[in-house]
Amino acid sequence: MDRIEVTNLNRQFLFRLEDVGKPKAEIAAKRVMERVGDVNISPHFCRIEDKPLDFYSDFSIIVLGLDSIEARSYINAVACGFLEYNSDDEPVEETVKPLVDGGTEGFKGHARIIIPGTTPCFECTIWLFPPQVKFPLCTLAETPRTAAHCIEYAHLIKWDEVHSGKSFDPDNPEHMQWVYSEAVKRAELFGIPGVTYSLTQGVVKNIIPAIASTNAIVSAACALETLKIVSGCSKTLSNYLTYNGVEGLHTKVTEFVKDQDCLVCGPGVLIELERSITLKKFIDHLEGHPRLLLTRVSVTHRGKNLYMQAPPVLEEMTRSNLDLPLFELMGEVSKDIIHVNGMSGKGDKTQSCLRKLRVVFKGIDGVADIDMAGAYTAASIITHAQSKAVKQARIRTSSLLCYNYYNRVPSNTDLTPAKPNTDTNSGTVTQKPRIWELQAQPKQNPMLMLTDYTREMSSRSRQASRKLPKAVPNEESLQEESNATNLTSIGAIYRRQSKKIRSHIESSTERKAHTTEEERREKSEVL
Amino acid sequence: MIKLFKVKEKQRELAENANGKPPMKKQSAGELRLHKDISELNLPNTCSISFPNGKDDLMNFEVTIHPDEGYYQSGMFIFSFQVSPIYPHEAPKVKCKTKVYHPNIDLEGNVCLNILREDWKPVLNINTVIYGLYHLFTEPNYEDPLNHEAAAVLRDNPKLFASNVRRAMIGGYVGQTLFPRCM
Repeated sequence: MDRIEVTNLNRQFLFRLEDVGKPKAEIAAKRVMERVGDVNISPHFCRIEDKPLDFYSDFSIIVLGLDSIEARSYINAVACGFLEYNSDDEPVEETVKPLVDGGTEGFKGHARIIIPGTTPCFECTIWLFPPQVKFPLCTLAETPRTAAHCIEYAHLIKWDEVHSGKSFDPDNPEHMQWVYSEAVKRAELFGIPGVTYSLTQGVVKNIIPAIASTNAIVSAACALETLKIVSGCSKTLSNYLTYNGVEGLHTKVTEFVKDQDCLVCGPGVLIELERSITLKKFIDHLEGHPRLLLTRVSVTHRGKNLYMQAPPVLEEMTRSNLDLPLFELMGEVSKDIIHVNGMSGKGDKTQSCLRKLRVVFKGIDGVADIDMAGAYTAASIITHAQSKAVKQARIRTSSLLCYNYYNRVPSNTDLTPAKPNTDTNSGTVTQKPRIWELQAQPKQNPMLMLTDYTREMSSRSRQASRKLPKAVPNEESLQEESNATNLTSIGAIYRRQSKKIRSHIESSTERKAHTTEEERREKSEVL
Repeated sequence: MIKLFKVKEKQRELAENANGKPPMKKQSAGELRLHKDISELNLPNTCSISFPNGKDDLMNFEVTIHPDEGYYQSGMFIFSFQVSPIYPHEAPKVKCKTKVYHPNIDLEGNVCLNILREDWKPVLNINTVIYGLYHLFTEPNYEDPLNHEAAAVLRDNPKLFASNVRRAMIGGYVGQTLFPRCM
């Protein structure tokens, strides 16, 4: 919902001075379509929450350029909402909707890939965000010390005193101007310097100034990752890149691990039920279910609280639902997700837990889940068998694609199980085994892959027999790796390699020329 | 590798199987965590909770506190809670709906409680916030005031403070301000 502002023009290169005030989405679409033939972009100038869910279900990949945790959380919930799990608690590949997300703040930025069901989703790693800076109200009221305190006083306290009822609109310049002038008065009262209009905007809207280089680096990474996902041309980022240019220059890729109990992207526990079961019976069933063992259960379905065991006022309001069939309460769908909260454990060691459940109602026609109690139909056996074979073929094909770059014979027998990530230096938070391993090779240092790839490319041009590129790095490539964080060095590596390729080609043509010369001499001698 | 083109087919299939029902509303992780907090609420008998928007809107509710000891004994104070979709990353927004003579609550209803602002942690929950609010009435704190007159009186003349509080709760003037009855 952004419009172009003058301050955007130093880095948002699709926009010109005459575009100021127009919607960013529309101008960006227009400019790209002018420059790139055969591409079709439809701009939408509205809030992301205003689009219905089936709008998002149409897309193959969603790339994010959002500016708040809330917006990212929303889109993450939408994308992960499309994800389905099969009866083995594995993600169904056709329902996976990849997300590419990037963000910047001044000299720092990040880019990440979210593949629901495989990589951690946004909620799995929301603890990464530090708490927001909030000043105590009494400091604002009594003892301000900084310019930000004065601004927040005007914004949070003085506004309500004077404009009680009217809510503050940060996009309204008159409101912002009022806050600025009040902040200046307050600062004068306490002798605090530094209140400016732009600082006021920054504090009130939580803005950190943006610079072109950070945005360029992060958006380039996002664009590259999107290309890789679409084309499968090479291994994608796995799975979180951080960039920090404020003290020296530091980039790091961390492979975060999915939270199996994630309420948004996790598989939850599969529960099969009869259509006739009442809510009360269902709750009792949870107490005995081996994976749950929950007491004092409360149930919620898509925002509707079916039963709350506390507080007393809500318990009264929801008590009548206990005798109704759960199938009816859930809107009569064949399967859906519900959440239950309760106490698990026994005696002294009870603890509260919130669990996600995949409820499937038996006896409904056309249900995709095959492992239902009851007879398998011939059709379901065939589809089950087919899906396994297709799965194998798919894994084979994808291994082939990756293996081409490493010139190894792909194995189409069983894949080696994922090895736990024991690289303690990488700072990976947990040591859980990785769930996603389409290539059956041991984890390689990502920097190594760069040099392996280039070595592989240069080896193709050599006329000598091809050797398998070794996984063990030599001194030279180690040095290159340590330099490789510096973006210019990456260019240097490529230049060096391409020089090697060129020199090989030249020497081979020389040899060829030499041979033909000899042949001519021989011929002439014979003659 | 992601089978992107198959994804599109499957989505169309899913949409058809939905029998023309519109895709249902998304429930955010914040709402789920709030549901957990609310369903485990363990309030003392001095505090009660109500849901003016019905049982399905847990993001906006009201808490009423009846202190049974201290300066504010027998008073009835209503607080409104507004929980954001990114709860518990962000603290709930709490305002006092009752006009009260209190050093840590100003006349607009802003509440100065550390766990609502700078000391908020995602591990805290609605129960702890309500206990914190109750604590404000049993132990008002004149050191970090929002209402400096009240704070000054509490610090210098606790007896006068007690009578001011009583007068405000019964309904009457304290200084220039009229307080409605809240007992």
